[in-house]
Amino acid sequence: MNILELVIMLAFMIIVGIVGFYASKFKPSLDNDITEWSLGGRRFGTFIVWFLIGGDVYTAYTLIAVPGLAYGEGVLALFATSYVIMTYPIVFLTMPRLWNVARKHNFITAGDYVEKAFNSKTLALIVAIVGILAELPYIGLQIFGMNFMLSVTHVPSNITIILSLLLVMGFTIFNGIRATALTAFIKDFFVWAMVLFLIIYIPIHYFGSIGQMFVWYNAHYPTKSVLSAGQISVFATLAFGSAAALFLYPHAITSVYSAKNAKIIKKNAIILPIYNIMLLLITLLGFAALFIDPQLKNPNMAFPEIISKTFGPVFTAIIGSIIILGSMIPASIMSIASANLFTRNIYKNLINKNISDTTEKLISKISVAVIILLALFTSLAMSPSFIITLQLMAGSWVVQLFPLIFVPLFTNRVNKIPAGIATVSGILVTTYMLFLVHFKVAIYKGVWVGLYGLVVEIILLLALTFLFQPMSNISLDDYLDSE
Amino acid sequence: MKKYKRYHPAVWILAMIPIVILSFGIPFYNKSKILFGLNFMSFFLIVMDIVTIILISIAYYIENLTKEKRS
Repeated sequence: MNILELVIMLAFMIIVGIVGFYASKFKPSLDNDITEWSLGGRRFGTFIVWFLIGGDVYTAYTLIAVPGLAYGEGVLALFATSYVIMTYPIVFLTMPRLWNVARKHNFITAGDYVEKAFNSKTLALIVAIVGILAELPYIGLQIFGMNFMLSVTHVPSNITIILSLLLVMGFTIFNGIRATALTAFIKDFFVWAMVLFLIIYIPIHYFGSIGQMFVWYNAHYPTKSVLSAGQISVFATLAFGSAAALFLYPHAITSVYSAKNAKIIKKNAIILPIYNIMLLLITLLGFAALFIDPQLKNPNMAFPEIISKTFGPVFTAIIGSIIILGSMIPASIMSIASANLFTRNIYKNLINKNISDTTEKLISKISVAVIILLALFTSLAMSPSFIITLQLMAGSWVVQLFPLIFVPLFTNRVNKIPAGIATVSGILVTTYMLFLVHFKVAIYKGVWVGLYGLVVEIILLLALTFLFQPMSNISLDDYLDSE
Repeated sequence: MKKYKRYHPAVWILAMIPIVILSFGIPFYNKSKILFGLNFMSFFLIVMDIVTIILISIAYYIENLTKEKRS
């Protein structure tokens, strides 16, 4: 164990811990209700929402897995940049409307919205179960990200991971999303600084320039420098499907709900693509890793290996600390989003609907602890392939929620019965597709599995909608900007 | 005061342009030649990112304009 490396990591964690626990002092609210804890009282401005969404979309696992994919599969990894570019037009069209209706009816989760829109607790339950199942392995992947990075340092991995997650658990329970938002500032500042430094330094250090890096890459890996004919449909469907799914994840919706008004969401749909430049740059490091060590057995080690083989232990510890920050902030908001889904759409619907605001907040806080500990346990005790399988399944299921969340934003023509049948069918079809590939990958015959479910959903919705009465639980005027 | 319930068609079109180009234009940008120090696909994605920012900005402007006019 290297004491200096440990001190560096602890210093980063302490700074984040202080900011996280101090968050309640930042623009304190007079209210102390569940909206304050879950959504910061819906008072976040453009800048904070930008950092909050950036903090939970561009996670530590992204920083590790995307260069890893570039290392293993070449330019196919650029699908990640393509999909986040496609995401923001979808955000612009859908999320301001969702924010408006959430504000008017005081919704805290996507499940709340679905329950009201379709007058159905069952559909809200489906949203909650899929949402929680999607978030749990997502937090687990953050832990993997930390693990990969810590494996090239001289710091004990498990203790560091446990310490950092206990810290996240503490400040999330005390200060809710306010802590997430403030700590996201720190995380994003360091992540941006790290990426910009690495993308300038690494290519110059090894190749002379980024251009020379591509010249070398094209010469040595010609088959990876363009997509093969079979990869084009994989790239397209993976990118489109992931773009459609991203803002159906509960944590993304929680970030959206925390905004002060719908205009802030629209402005963020314009400025959030700036983050995509960072994602593209970090992808390119995967190509450089092939020059540094072409024999890696685990592609996810590409990024950590670049760092450890290029820099000394102190700098590696600093980068390791930034990756830990990149895991802590998403874990915080994902646990809040999952906890709210459990409390409001599972506990209140199935066990006891007449609970006070204080009890609701207490259950949510306990749920945060349970979710983080569960993610920690599954990541440390189960095999990585189990978490990745769970993530593949849940990621493909999340996009199946679109008839429940996106469709009623634009029409009240869809009744709960066709919406429910379509969603459940989509989930079953997707699961069957995953079964056909033995739950190993999310691609079947060159197409992302989620898309098969989505096509079945659309066909069922079109076929069944006109057989049922339209729903009118939410007035279409409620979706409009009120400012 | 009655406001329009739906987006202006131009808003839909502007938002769909990046999605359509990125989904169906892969054969066009799937090239390994190097442009401005980046391989073509990376360069194209940076351009599309900037184009998306511009298109959504125009959509935002149209949305504000039509909302005010139709209120």
